Amino acid sequence: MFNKKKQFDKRYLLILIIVVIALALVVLAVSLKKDRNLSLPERIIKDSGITVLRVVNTPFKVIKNKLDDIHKKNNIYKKYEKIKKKTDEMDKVKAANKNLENEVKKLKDALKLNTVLSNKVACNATIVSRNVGYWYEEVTIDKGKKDGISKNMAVVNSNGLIGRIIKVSNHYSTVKLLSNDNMDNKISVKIAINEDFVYGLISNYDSKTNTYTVEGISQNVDIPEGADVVTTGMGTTFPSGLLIGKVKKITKDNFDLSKVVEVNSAVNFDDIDYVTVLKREVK
Amino acid sequence: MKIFILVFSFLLDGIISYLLPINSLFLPLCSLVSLIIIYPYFNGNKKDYYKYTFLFGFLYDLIYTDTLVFYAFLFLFMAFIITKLTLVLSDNYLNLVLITVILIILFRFISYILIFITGNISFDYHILLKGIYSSLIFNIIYAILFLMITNFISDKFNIKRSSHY
Repeated sequence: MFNKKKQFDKRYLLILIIVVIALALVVLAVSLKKDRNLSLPERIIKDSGITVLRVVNTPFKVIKNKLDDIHKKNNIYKKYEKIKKKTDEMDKVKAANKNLENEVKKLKDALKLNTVLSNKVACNATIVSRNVGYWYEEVTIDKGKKDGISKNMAVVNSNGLIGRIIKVSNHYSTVKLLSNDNMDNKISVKIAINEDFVYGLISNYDSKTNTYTVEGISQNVDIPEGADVVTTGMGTTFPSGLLIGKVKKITKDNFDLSKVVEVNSAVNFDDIDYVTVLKREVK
Repeated sequence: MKIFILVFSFLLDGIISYLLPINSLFLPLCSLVSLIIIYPYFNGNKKDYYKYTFLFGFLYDLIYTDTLVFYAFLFLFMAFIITKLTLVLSDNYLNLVLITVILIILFRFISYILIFITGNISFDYHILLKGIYSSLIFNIIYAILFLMITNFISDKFNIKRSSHY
């Protein structure tokens, strides 16, 4: 009698274990989903937690900034020369830019267009915490829903595109960096060749060399090394014209059908402090 | 004392990952290390220990990683392993290092595999290995130093704990 009962229990136990494991996997899949909306209690706890963390972080931040300053002072002359060269070119670019702006405005008026792909509104933010989960390559910034941030907005720093917003709480939001080697949303980019553009897709990122791989470029275009790679604005996430990097190397794909371009990232993902969130302006 | 250790490690995780670059060789897992260090303070009361661990993991989820219960259960499992390991291993610094190493490897491995199974990342054992070895150095040093400090404090204030390292 006792033995029978034990067997009976064992069978149920097995089923129970399987059900529990299956349930656990479902819960995991839901909770790990990257673009899940945070619920209200989650948002409140996250906000208060990060605020505490921010306060604790402040003295360390000051020290870090001081150290960075000292480091920067050491190679200030080199930077000065570089900047001087750039300012010489600046006037030329400015004039050209103004001209283009006027032209775009006139054309927009003529076509009665309300939006173009490159329209964007900026919002500056500071990074308050980064990458504790390690596998994700994420950072948290100090702007959230209250500042008009919402999911999937593009995030840039002074050098170029760095990622997109994936989670938003009331005062903070999480940015998924492009350096995350799993790119579930391929980014549409264009490479500038003289006056023309060649279009392609970023397929992955290599953290060792800090390069992206751009695929899907037709065989019969010549791409110069050092050409600028920018976003196209096609797709839902990124506005057009955000700098991704410069062309480093051009190779062929396995079947010899198209070109594969290695692109040096314009952003150093190890050193991001201040960022700008861009939203597409849609009237 | 336990709460002090937990909160301190929790904040340290945030601070250090803020100060160090993303791809550095010193990845903090102070929260995980603190689980080893608080265990003796429960004087064998496993139920309380598991409760603390679960809540702690839940906070970690909410504040750092935005995953709902993932780290709560992972920490709970780690706590279970700690209770089993401390049965087998005696209390000394070498064994502390051993437990830390085992836990870090398990922690990184399980979290990577689970995130992979749920389809969030593609599998690349180089990244997994890098994640493991770059967390080892910092956390072993942290475990030893922190244990020394907490032992010193608890001896000074006569805080009861079940074993001495």
